[in-house]
Amino acid sequence: MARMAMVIDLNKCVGCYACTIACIRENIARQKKNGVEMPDHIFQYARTRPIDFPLEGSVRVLGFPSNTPFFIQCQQCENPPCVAACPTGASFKTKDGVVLVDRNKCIGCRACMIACPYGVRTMYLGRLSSPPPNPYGLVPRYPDKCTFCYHRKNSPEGWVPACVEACAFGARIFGDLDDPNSEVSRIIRNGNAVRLREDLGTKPKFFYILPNK
Amino acid sequence: MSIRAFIAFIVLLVVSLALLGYGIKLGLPAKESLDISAMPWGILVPGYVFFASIAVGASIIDSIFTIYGYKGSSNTLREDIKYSTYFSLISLVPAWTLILLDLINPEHGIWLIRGFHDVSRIAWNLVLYTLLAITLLVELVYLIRRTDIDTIKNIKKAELAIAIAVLVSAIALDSNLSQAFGSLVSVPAWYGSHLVAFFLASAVLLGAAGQWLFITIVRGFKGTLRERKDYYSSLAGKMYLTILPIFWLFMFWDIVAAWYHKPTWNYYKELLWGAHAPIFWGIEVVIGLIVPVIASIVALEKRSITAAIVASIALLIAGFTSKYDLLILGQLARLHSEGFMTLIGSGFLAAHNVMHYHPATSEVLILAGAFIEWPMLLLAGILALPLGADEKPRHLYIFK
Repeated sequence: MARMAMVIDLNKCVGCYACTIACIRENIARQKKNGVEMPDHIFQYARTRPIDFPLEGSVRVLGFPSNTPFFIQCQQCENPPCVAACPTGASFKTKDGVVLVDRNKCIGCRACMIACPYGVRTMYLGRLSSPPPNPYGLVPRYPDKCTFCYHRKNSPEGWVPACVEACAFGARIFGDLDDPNSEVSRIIRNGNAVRLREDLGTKPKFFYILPNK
Repeated sequence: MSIRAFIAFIVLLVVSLALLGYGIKLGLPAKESLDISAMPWGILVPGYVFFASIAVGASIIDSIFTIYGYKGSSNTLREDIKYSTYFSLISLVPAWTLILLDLINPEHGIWLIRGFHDVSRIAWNLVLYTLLAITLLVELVYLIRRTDIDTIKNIKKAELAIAIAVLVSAIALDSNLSQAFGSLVSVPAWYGSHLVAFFLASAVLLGAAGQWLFITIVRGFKGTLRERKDYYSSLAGKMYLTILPIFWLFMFWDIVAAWYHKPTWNYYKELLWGAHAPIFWGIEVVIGLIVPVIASIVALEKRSITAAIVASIALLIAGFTSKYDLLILGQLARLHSEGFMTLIGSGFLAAHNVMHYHPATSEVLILAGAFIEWPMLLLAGILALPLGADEKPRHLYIFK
């Protein structure tokens, strides 16, 4: 058993959006003969999204300066409310602790989308003619969210999500919480990282290292 | 009545199918993507809850009358029992129509059974709807087949057992339905067990209004209303004046409790003083409370059927609005709450400015289709089934 987790170090993140672009390229955009096919409002379907509106709320909740870049994505909860709400078992948690959607079982009731307290599930209703870029890529009319690039799990180069790979500043760290030697485990052990809305009991496996004040 | 009723049935059938069909054909366009991502449940969901509440409430009232042996004036209610049971059963159909057509991928519906997920309240809804529909169907068949209709004083044990089964199923269903919303920690306006009491009170109110209106209209067309005018008007007055204070008591305490919880208070702030306030005060309070109270008192004092009809229609209008406010505004309020804005990301609020909900054309058409489907099915029952106290089975072998 593994418990895959991710940390964003907000001290290192410069807000260059490389992670968002990498995510779109990896999971959303489809290669066509004469170009690329993408949903309208493409940034809204990126599975890791920048928050670029005024951050008053964030500042109050997390207590960091308002000019800090901040990204939101599926928190890969240990107690995922989206999985509990799903009537068909289409939303499920893998042995690696990653929450995925089995599209063959999804009836499109959107209970998972409304159950997510982080508001990170999206649904694109338009048409895309080309096949998804990978088996877990965005498919119209199904709930979509970060999968930690699950299709890369058995990659010969190791399981590294596209956003982690793209980050030039090493702000994103990915690893197994059950492996005491992983960098993620070390950061969590040091107590430097926080999770969003701990009060809800969802136990996210997505952590933020808050900027030094 | 029969020819005109049949023509009316055909017209309603055609219009309902046309609206539903065109709504399905239009579907949700791509431009709704951002709205559905920010606010996943649109107007079909309040519509579904509205009809489900009517069915549940009517079932509860029927069962209570049966179990406690309420005889009314010259057993009037016993004469209406087949109508009221049919009304409860058939009110489930528009609810199912709406929720089925709200699914984006209904073709995978078999997974509701194959993949039954026992911690999901939505999954349990399917079980409990089936249970309620079966118990109501059994009750209707029993009542139609019953030969000793004149022995009204002696309710048979079988009838009592069926009525108890209907009552238990109805309460279980409505409680579970409320918790399909109330178990979602992500929507502060919904989260909590208070929704069970709120939903049950609302269901009984809606069920009473819908059922009373249906039976009164049937009796009016059959020419038997005049002789029972006093009884029906006072019945409506008593029912509404009893249930309304209970419903509003729950509403009042919900508002008081919300005051101590900021995320929930955001919803009530918007409802009481925000952009939504005219709908709340104008429809929920004036049409849903003041008008029915005055009309019920007039119905009770003056034995006025017109006043009772006004009260019933007002309650149905306000009942739908109440569901709309809770389910639509509840979702909007979470988007605008400080904590959620922090978490939702730049996406929807910034790019699309989701400040208000506007139903898609397809949703409006489907909702209208379901609202026409309802009287169409009620009329079909009157035409095809022996629902009157003195009617004998005519068409279907099962009832002979």
